[in-house]
Amino acid sequence: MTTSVPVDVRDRESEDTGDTGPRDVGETLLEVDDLAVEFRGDDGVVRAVDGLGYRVVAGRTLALVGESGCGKSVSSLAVMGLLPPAARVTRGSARFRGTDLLALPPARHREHCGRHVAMVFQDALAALNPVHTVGYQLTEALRARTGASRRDARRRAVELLDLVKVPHAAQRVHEYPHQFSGGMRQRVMIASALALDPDVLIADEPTTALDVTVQAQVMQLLAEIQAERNMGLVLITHDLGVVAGVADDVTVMYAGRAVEQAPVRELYEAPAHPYTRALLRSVPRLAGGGTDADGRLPVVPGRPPAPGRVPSGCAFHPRCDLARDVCRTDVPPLAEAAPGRSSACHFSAEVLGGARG
Amino acid sequence: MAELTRPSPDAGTPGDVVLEVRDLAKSYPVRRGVVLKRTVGQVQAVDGVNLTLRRGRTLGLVGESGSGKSTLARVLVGIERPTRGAVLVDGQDVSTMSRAERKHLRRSVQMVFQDPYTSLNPRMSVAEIVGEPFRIHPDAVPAGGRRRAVAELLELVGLDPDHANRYPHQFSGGQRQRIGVARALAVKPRVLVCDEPVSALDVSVQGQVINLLEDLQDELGLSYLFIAHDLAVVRHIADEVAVMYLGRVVEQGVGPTVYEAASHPYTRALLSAVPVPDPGAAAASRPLLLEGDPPSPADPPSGCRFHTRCWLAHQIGAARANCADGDAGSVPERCRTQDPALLPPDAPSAPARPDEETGPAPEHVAACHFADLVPGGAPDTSSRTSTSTSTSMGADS
Amino acid sequence: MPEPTTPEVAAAVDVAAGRSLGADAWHRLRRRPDVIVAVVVVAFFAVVAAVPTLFTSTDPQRCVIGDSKIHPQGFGATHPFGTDAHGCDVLAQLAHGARPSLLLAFVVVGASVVIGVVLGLLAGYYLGWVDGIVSRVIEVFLVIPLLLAALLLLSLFRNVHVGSGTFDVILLPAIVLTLFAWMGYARYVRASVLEAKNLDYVTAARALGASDVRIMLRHVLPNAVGPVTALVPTAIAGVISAEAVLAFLGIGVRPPAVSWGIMITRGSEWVTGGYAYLLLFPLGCLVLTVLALVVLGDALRDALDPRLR
Repeated sequence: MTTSVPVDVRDRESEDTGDTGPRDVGETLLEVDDLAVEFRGDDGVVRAVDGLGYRVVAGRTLALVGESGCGKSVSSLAVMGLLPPAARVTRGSARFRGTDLLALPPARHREHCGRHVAMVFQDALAALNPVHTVGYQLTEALRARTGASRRDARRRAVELLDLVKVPHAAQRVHEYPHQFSGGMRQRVMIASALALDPDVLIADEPTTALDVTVQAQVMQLLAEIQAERNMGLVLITHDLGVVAGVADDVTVMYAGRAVEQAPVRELYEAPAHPYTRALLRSVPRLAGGGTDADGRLPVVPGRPPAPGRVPSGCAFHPRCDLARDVCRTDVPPLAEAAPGRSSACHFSAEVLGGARG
Repeated sequence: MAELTRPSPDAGTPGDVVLEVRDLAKSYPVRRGVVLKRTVGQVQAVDGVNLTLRRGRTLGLVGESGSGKSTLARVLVGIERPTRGAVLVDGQDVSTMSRAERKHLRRSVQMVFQDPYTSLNPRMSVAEIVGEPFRIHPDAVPAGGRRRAVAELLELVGLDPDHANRYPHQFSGGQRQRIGVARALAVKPRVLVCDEPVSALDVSVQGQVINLLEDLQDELGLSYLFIAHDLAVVRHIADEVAVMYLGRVVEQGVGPTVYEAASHPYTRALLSAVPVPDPGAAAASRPLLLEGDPPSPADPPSGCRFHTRCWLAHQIGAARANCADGDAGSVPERCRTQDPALLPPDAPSAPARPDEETGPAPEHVAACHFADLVPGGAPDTSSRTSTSTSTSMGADS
Repeated sequence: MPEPTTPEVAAAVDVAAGRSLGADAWHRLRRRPDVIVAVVVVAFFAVVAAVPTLFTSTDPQRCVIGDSKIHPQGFGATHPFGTDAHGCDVLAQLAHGARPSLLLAFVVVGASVVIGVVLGLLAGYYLGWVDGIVSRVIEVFLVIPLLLAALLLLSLFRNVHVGSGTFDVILLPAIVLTLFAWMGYARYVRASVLEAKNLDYVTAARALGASDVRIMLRHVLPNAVGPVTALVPTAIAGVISAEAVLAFLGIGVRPPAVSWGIMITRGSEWVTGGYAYLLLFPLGCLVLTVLALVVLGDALRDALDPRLR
């Protein structure tokens, strides 16, 4: 894991069909640009994601951080072509090695994702079918796509379980999901996402439902696999504490937009957006001193806006301790706050300065 | 003889014991067969737990899933009957009470649940949810004053009383958790058992709920049993911490002692797993002291229940194998055969169990044969290395 | 950053903040045209069943063999919907058959829902021996074929005299059909109770000291009857057609009363011979009723579910 700013490699973009090739460190695998997703409901159209852009680079981990309802999951479902029927992409692109996934017909979109972009969901129990053995489910995609024989598929399943460090893999491929603990199920999900050797793995809150102990194990596993295979990894989470050790870059989302993008060290050292700063403060800490002056835990006051009820101006202004008049009227653009990082705040320089000073 | 008029929450002085758990055990039979169900074993969910909760204090209970902490909570609020031991509320043993007394006493111990989405009936309005306790205990508030009581409760937990006619799905997770707290407070309990009350919430709002609980504690003199799997969450709110593993308390002590001088390898492992929000210190190189999942409580390991996953036992075993003729990678025989007692960590293994002693309860106890070998200091700054451990171990053996 | 002391503003949904659940349900129903159509259809058949003479002045029993198999003549003629093989007026039979058919259907479904829900609730909630007994009884009733049981009951009741009032003519089929219709509801309810009773809000009510009855009625049942409401409309169709089968054994709706079920069975013999209308009229009435009930049941479920507000 390097800490340098990603090298911008765009030469592959030309007319690459996105077929499998070796992944070079620093190669841009997935580039999401100006993505907007809308939900149509009884109460009209609600914009869940609005102009989101990020880049997934081989060998690096991107953390997509935000509270419930900020659009972080919806945006990745859009990339995967898994949006519910009520939602649709209204703008933007998601280019995998130059191929815009969102412009493909749905069937080809899913096929393309199946081979190159895989996803792990939060609820591993719901994502596994209780009536099939774990081994069967692990290799279902493999058999369907490559026509591998039963024996080959089984061998591959054992390999995959070994890869995610499930003990006694050879026996456990014959067991059913309910015989696995929560952490082991999540490992199985990761293994099944890896079955077709994807270039990009998107993990949506992979550890939220797990104990801290298991959470740490799963995070470490993801980091190891990512580094080993030189994969691009997207970690979706609400907890900045969890990704500190594994992420290389962070995109903080609020009300459907990216409000801050920065390499991980810079972001934790000196956030350039008040929301990032508040999120960081709210992470529970083991070492004492995690409280503010009057002995209370710091929180982000209030709650995130419901989609469709996004406040005017800067969406964060009702919860922001820096909010001034301009924040109520003008939407701050995502602009460079310092070299290699950007922030969508009218006063990002002030926030950045305050954090450093 | 029953004194059915419950004392107001202001009765008593801080420091009084409001809830005591003595040698509590709860086991569930494991049954096989469809028609003739045979009992083939027992799951020891909770096995001999002693706890004391004082007025106005918070006891944090920490452990992985399967450690029995939720079962303990269910026993305390009276949903499950213990198989052994006693629960004492204000010094009175709950199990010796009549049905009516028990129903009355249940009011003093209430519960806040983990999942704000399943803990509120989706078909009931907030007013109905918070007002339900008054219907169950009609004597709690006179019929005419219930609407006002509900409004006051909502205000107490920081919700707008005008929203009483709304339904749970119209609130966010944090707000729902407040509704759950309001419901628990309706019957004026003295003890709130909070079963992972924030682990289902976004980190950004977890603090809101914890701050609310602290405010309520100050205002109403409540005592909390705060259950969590994350030591960092407990750190802020708890005065005392008990760590559970496979149905037993393995370490217990006043807050700082457990965090700064954790004496049980399991507590150490839990501490090492807490994410540190600092990319520099956190890096993946940080040692992770716990591998795999806890064994099944239906078949707990012999001796010390933690020995199968214990990093310290393995280190000691490995060190012994190096300098003596033992098998490599094995754990010390004591860990495999002898059940360690809860003792002050610095004291040499004394034969008496703490509950048989006459003096005041020690401030810090741990159930490990080698507690004195657990390196001191906070985990992230610890000088925990295999050499230091093996040398000190060498001195012991 | 101090937390705001003022109550948080719940901005999510302001819809119908002060309206009662019932009023709101009505409000939602009104916005759906399919619901209005369904209400009209159900109301229409209800009127037909209540006052058949409003729609026909012909006596359904007055069958003139010479007038048999007259094709529909359109409104205004003697036989607007034509006549059947025995020369009976189809419109008159349809109108007069509505009451026994619909009444039978509602009585059977109503009684079996009540039995099924009560037994399923008790079995799922208490488990243990209660569940053992209920489950075995369900299995026994599922195994016995309906026709065999009908024959047994027929012989039991052969000599019992029942009158010819509205309820009397459907009494026997109602008993037989109810006996064999409740198991489905019981199983569905039992399964949903098993799921619902472990939810945290049920535990919360228990921790508060709520009685079993209160927990069952207030917390478990409302969230467990969903699948049952989905079964009801199709069950009504099932009862109406099953009644026709029983009619052949002599324990259906008692002659001289007619029913849609009997008409459908008889009509189906003539479909190919150019007399499809003999089947299509009663079948159309049945399908219309069932579809309307499906829409109504759906709308009712949505309207009463606060999550969908």
